[in-house]
Amino acid sequence: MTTGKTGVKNMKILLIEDDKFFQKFYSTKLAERKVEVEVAGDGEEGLVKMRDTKPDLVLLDLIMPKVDGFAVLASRAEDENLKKIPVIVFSTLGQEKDVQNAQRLGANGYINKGFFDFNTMVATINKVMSSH
Amino acid sequence: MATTDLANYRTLYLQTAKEYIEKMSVGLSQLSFDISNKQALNNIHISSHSLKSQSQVMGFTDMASLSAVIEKSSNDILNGVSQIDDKFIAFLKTSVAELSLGLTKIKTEMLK
Repeated sequence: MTTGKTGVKNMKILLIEDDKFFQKFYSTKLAERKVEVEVAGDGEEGLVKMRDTKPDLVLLDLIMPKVDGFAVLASRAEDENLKKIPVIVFSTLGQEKDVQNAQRLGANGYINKGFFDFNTMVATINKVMSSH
Repeated sequence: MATTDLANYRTLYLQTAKEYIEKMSVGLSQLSFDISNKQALNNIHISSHSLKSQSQVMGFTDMASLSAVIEKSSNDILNGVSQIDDKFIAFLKTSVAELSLGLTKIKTEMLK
């Protein structure tokens, strides 16, 4: 795995996101940077894949059907193994309170998915990985 | 946004945006029949949230702004901040129609 100024090459990232548009968007963008991407379509599947695939990092959407991102963070907080995996949540316009709640539940950082910029994303990932 | 190539995602946007508007339309029909149907309201909330986010990424600000208003209104009702009433149902009907029209315009522009 390589982070820091060289980027995110060879990281294994689990994307927990119900939206097909963003699944494709982020999977493609991350794969272009040689990131190994695993996708889960909801929180329930996400928790299973967190345990099974042991990713270096999780990118987590908050608003999802069935088990949402807050429930994923709550489950993670009660599991010593899952707590070791850093989580960055996706925020969007008007979700400031949601981000605060997510951080209270243990989220390590957030990315505004409405204003995608890969360099900003890598910088956030590097910051989280270096402090976790 | 946009330090990235978006052209490759236009077709996917059109597909998923259409699905979200259809889900909102179904939710609206269910709510019109039974205003206490929280699952229908929750589906509208999630669909408007998703449509807002992907519209924002694609730079379709009118679609994003209207979706954001629906998202906030439905979230306020779900959290007990406000009550569902005929005015909200009427607002939803108008908004879903506007989103549908907006998507048609985007599709037309893309085909030019």
